[in-house]
Amino acid sequence: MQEIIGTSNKVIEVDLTTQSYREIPISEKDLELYLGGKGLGLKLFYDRVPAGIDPFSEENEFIVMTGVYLGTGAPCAGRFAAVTKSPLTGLMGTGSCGGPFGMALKTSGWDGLIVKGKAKSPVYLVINSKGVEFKDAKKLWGKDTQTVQKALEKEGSGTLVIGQAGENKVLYANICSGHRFLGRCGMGAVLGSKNVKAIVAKGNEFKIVPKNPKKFDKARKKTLKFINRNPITSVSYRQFGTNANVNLNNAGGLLPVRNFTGGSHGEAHKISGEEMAERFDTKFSTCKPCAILCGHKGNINGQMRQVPEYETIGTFGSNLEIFDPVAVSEFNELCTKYGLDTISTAVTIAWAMEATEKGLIKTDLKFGSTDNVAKTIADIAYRRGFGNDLANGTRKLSQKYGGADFAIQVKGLEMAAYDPRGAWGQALSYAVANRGACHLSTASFAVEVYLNMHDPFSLKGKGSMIAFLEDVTCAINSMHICQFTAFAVELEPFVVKYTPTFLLNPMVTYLNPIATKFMDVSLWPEMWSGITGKRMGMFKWIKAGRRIHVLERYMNTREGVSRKDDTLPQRFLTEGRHCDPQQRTVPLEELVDSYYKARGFDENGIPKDSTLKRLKIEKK
Amino acid sequence: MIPYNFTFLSHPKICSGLKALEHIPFELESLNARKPLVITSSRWAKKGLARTLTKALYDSNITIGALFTNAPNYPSVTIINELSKLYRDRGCDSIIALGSGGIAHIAKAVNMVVSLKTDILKCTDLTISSPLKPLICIPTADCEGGEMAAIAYYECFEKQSDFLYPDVIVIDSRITRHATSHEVANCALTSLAHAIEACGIAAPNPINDAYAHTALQFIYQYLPKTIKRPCNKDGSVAIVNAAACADTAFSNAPHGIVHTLAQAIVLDTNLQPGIVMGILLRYSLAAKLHAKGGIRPELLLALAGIDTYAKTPEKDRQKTAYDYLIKCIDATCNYAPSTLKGLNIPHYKLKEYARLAAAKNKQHKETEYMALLEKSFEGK
Repeated sequence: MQEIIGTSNKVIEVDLTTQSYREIPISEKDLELYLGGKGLGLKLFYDRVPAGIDPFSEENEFIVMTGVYLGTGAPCAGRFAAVTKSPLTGLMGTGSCGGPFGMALKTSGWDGLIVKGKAKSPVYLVINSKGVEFKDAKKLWGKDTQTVQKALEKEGSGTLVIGQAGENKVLYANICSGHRFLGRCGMGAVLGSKNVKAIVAKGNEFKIVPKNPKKFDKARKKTLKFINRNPITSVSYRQFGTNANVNLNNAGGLLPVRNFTGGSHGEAHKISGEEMAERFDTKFSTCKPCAILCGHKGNINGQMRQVPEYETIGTFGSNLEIFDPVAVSEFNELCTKYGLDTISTAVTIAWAMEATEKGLIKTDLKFGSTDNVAKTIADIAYRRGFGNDLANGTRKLSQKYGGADFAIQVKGLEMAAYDPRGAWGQALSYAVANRGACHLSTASFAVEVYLNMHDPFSLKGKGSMIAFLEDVTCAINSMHICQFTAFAVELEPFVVKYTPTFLLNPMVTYLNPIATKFMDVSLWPEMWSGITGKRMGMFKWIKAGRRIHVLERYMNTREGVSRKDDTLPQRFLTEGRHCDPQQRTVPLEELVDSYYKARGFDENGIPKDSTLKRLKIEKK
Repeated sequence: MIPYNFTFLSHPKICSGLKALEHIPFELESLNARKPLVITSSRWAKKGLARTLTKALYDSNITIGALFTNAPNYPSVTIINELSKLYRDRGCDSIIALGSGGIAHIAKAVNMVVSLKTDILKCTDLTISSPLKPLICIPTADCEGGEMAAIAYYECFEKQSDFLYPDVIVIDSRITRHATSHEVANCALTSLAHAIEACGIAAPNPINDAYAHTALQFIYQYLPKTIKRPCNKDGSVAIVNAAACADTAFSNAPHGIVHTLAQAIVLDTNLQPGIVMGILLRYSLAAKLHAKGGIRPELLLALAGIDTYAKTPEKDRQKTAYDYLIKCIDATCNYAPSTLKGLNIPHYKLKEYARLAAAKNKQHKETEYMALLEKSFEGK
């Protein structure tokens, strides 16, 4: 088998309109400035695609980037990133997925894939080291993701597949790879608009070897040690999956209940990770390779199925007041088959339930009842009846029918399963996140509520904390490694691990910009450095993360984003909750001000020229 | 010559100027009300506006039934129901809306619910046939259009009725001087668009024109200095008076192309309506300039006064009026770009906006909406 030392630095560009392909080199400079994965994907998009295009037009590009870590044996690095313009938000859509496609693409010799144009009729692509084959997908069109993956399994070792939702351009259709997804922002609809049913990568043609194996191995072993030592990565998530969050969120007032009207519920334990692990006799079913092992499958109603992740449990479960994990698993399976993002689907259904209750629309959907939910999911996927409206997401729905105050979305993207009133840092993070109400932009709820490192209801230090976490997250998603490794890499080094919480909390809260300088996150850049052979210090790495985040923001401002969009649904700004005796709401304006200041944005939320210059972002 | 046929209705009494707030007890008593529900936002409450109002009511027989200081800008069913309940629970008999934008529309919607004793969603299809409870509107200078008109916006609905006019509009500099320059620009541009569209209709209405002309006059005279210093007492009062006059004119005329398109754009983008209207108005006026009778020469009389009007040759009056109007729009150039592209509105969305506008207002064809959007996009 041939070897790739470090990275191949080449991307394959596929033009569907002309059914041709070509190789595009990645410059060493761009790799260093943007690290790989999401960062490089955004940079490529920025360089190649003009602002203001229609996400469903031929001009829109779908970019997959594998990142530097993939295939090297770095722990939890079985992930790849995707970038496109989202039809749901009209802004930059980015995603991270732990499916086998990334490994297959990288071991086919490509660091990335660019899909542009539009095929005349449904096609699927087969990629190998020599190039691309365009194959007729008429027979696969109309089939669900699982059937298509099975049909194509002999053609390569990794696939990207859309379901009926993607074909019908449901604005939050996802893309499936194995049992993992490019879930958010409607990437499935973009592929559907290009008439691409699937992309297969042959894989196993190249072996990826670090340039400096000794340095890489040292960092890798240390990271593994930290992962296996940290209680969240080695116990909670490993034993109970991400659903370990249910009980934590219920206790911390973060659990979405009844379309985000409450933060906790007496029956939440029924859908907790602990309960499901016992009830379904769960086993590991994870991204590959993985050291945390948070993905699980289990015996659900006599069938071996993937256990829904926390976001699905939170949004289809407590948020609809359905505390039956079997029912939620059923909905999860349907979304998987049709290729629908579970978060957006469930939050849209929750909106429909509340709008029905308030008399804005007439449907048979009701909180606490599983009746008609499965039918509604199918209607959404096929855009049948009212499902055609639901398929456009809560923002469009509320524009048509009213109910904007309880349309739980930011910038058009439906909110993940953490109530922002339970942690104001998370609230800020949702409001300013580039792709919309994204929990992965910082996962600040963990810092504030799970780890008690920052007072969740203090205004102090929130802006700089969120900016720092965004920088780190962007860098992580560009390496590309699982975000959960942050628990180990950030918390296990000496200073953080052995400083008592009563000292750590006020330091992080009141001296945030200084405190973050003491955070040792050097393991990540060390591994990157070991693979590429380039020097990469911790601060340079964080600055690269900042560059990626600000570039994405700048790209969004060219699509019209400004302060008016950095907001939260009215519910979080004016309504208190039963679980909070103080009936707290989010003081968003102050939070946003402090964030803009920390970020170097003007008062309207636009990156200042000096900020762009400092980060070496060329203004267009 | 007076036109053969026209109708005009302006219900509200306007109390404007120094100590106008102190008129409220008298006005309420005249309306046979003594216990108002006061609705305002947390922003205005923090700025002390609620305190200024309550002080103005001290030595009177008026008791504030409830003071709600957390009104959002979005008139949702939830907030309307909550405030209607508050109104009933506290035994209120009238409503005071302290603030513009959503606050005024929430107040109107609550008024419908408590007066018609029905659900807000049922009000949409109901014909209002008798006066509602007394409603006093105390606008701030961040008007978004329609606050003082015979119209209420709530959720995605629009309800028009002659009974939706406020009974009294109180314009006091202690209230109007707190808006920002950006908000003043938005308010003035909305009023400008509404006034021009109201007096540019095919069927002439001399009384409505008088209101529209007054609005234009105020805007032309006071906009530049109020934008520079929004806390200017005279300026802010004049701008809000312009909004009141423009709203009345807007209520007595069919909705124009600029208003309809701006609504479609604002719904999708959350941009301020005035800023969008300003852009569309610029190109709508440019198109009218080349059309016969597009811009009425009388506008020049309103904007520049009798001397300039008389001095300008008849054939040049349309162009001069146009120049004056563009000057008004240009006064907001620091706060509003001159094209839709400058607002970063993507071109591919224009079709959707034209379609939405055509569905809402059938007086114009989709192609007409699209033509104006295209012109406004790049400033062609």
